[in-house]
Amino acid sequence: MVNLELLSLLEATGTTIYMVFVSALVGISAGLFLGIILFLTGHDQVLENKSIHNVLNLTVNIGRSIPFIILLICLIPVTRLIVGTSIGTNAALLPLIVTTIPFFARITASAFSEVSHGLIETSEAFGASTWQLVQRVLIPESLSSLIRGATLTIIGLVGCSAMAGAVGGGGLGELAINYGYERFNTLVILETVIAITLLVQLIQYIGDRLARHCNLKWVGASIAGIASICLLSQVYAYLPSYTHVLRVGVINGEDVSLLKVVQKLAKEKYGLEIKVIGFDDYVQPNVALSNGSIDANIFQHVPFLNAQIKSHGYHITPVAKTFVYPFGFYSNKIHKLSELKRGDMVAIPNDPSNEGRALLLLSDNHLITLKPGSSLFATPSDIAENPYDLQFKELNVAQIARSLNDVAIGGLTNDYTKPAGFKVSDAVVKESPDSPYANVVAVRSADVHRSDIKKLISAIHSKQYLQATEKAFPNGAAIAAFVPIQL
Amino acid sequence: MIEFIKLNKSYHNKNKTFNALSDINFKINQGEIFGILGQSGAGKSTLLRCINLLVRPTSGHVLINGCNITELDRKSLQAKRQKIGIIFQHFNLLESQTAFENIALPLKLQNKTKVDINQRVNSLLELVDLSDKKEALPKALSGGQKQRVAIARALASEPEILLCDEATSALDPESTQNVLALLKKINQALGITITLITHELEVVKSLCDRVALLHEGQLIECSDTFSLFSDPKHSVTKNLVNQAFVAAAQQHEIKSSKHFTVRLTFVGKDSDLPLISQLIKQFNLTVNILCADITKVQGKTIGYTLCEFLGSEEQISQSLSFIQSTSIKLEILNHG
Repeated sequence: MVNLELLSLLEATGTTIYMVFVSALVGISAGLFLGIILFLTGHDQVLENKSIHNVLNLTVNIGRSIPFIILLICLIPVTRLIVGTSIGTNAALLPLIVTTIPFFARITASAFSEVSHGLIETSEAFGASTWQLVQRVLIPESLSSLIRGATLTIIGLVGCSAMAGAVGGGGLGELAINYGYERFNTLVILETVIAITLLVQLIQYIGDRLARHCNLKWVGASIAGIASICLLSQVYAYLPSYTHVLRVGVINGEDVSLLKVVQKLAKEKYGLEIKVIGFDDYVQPNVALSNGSIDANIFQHVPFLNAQIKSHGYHITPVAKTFVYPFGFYSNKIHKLSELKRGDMVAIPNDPSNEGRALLLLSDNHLITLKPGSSLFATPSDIAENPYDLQFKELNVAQIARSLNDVAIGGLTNDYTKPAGFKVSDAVVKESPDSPYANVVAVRSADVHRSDIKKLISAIHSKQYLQATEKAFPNGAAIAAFVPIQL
Repeated sequence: MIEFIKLNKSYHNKNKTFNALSDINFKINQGEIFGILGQSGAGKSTLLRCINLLVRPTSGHVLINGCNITELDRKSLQAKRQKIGIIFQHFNLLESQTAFENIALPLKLQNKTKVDINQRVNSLLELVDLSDKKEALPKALSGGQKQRVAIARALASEPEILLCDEATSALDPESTQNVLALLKKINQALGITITLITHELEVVKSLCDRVALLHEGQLIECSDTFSLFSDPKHSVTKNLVNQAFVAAAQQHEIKSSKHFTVRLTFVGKDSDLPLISQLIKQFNLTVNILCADITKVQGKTIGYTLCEFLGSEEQISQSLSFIQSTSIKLEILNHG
């Protein structure tokens, strides 16, 4: 269970503020524009145009009638096209903006229709152009309503941004759902609800003040203020560690609880404060490490890290091995490798990383020889010698678990042993502690010599952590590989 | 200055056509205060709005200094409109802006510099005697003050023409006098042609040089103000002038009276004549005065008297002949 601290609450609040206000700035501007056109093309107005007005009117009504969660999902392909990804805070911005535009367009049009027709006639009589009518009469005269509408819109966006958790948008809503609701942690829900309430109160207070003493200068100042808050909320994420707390990222689940042991030991023995931060996917921990949101992560093996470095250009260095979660070959037919016969069928995973891992394990056990210079992503075509004439069948790992009756041996990752009815200790052959697939402690390359990192490594390479892990991963499911990596 | 030629305006609503203005032809001269008088629904507002094309006529032309504004493109029309100020019954001030900013509006629309705007608005505030209300919002001003702000705004871009749309109808009598005096001052000091529409005879009487009377979309009378009051031609005009002096209820009583009833209008060289006492002495007639009033139009006096003549037919006919020999106007309302 995650111990929610003030820091992650603040971070989530920052993300929410960023999502809400960026989408508000863009959405309200666009909505204002659309609303102006909607109003001006209306009946008896200066740009009266029935067909344009009707089309806009229909568009706005349709836009307003789509529930946000549906819009969020419908927009995924568009988001991917524009933002490049459909996951994350920036991907959540697009649907938030799209939902804001028709809402604020309607608010604008109805605020304008409150302006007396006499005033519109007056400005026309004084020779105002259409744009001057908007700028000098409609907007100033309805400013108060527009501000109240904008306040309403922004508060609505706070609610929508909570749903943005559905696309990994982050923020308070996601915190409440992922760490509170999903993990039955009432405290987290309560804390986030309080944070959201405070945020809404603040927005309403500022909105009311502005609406009462409105003039364009104040509105301009507030927009500038909001823009800088958005920037600050993002800069905050890039600030280097500002406390003596060492922030360590792991994947949510078993690892979070296991790290408590390290946390306790580090504090008692080395006086080092560690904060454990849980992630839900395998990409963010390196992103966070790279941008300084965390100081170390423990979730990946070196081949994975290298691939990430290659594609993202991270300056991340592994400093110590932790455990090997061994890949192994399992069989319903034989118990030892020596029982393999010529021409036997061997199932290996078909994904690049695990296929290479499987072939490397066979090669280490002298069943095949790989061509010199073969990478960790070898395929059967990289086999130089196959003295036993083994027949390789490339399958999805989950499929291998079900197909063991049809092959002599099949390679499985740790996760699939249990569904296939095996303990890791049942493996015909499995990786040893010196496997290159050992998980590692990774840090920013500049930090490798930091003393707190060394203390962290010592706390990880401890008897306490070993025992706790072996208890959680019994029967050899986790093999300690407690060696520092020589730099 | 302003000339209407064969002006028509009709509105189509479903299958019905409503003629708001039919075949209007008249001229408003440079520098005069011209009143357009009529009951509500007579087409006054429509006619006024044809001058700056807030309402576009269905057919016909409006010439301003010889320029046919109905043929101007959008840009030229906007420029032309900047030379035609307008004030409204309900002021139409920007509620969110101070008096100063309201007056500055036309100047801002013309992208004048800040310095120019400051100078011009301050002098206008002085002109309408509101320098101390510069920073006040409209809601803090009285009706009369609002209309003065509106007048200053209308004058901001130094117009040649000022249009007044029932400018005093929403004001109390004192403010009305105030505003009318201001309009007069503007007309005299700045030489601006003022065209106003009103349903109030008082306004026409105290302000206008000439008057046009509209009735059901038609121009029924157009004359100088004195003639309108002293010698109304059209029955509608007569009625209107009558109403100004005799309450409607009383008029009804006169019509059902058993006695010979006349209205005497004291105008011209004999307006000072002691007519009634002469009738009594000379023709031995009994005269019963029902109602009498005296008013000044354009500096000249007009007196009205409603009276019953009681006497023999001969006495009455002699009296009538006598009256007809003077400049005093006679109108028989009831033959008894």
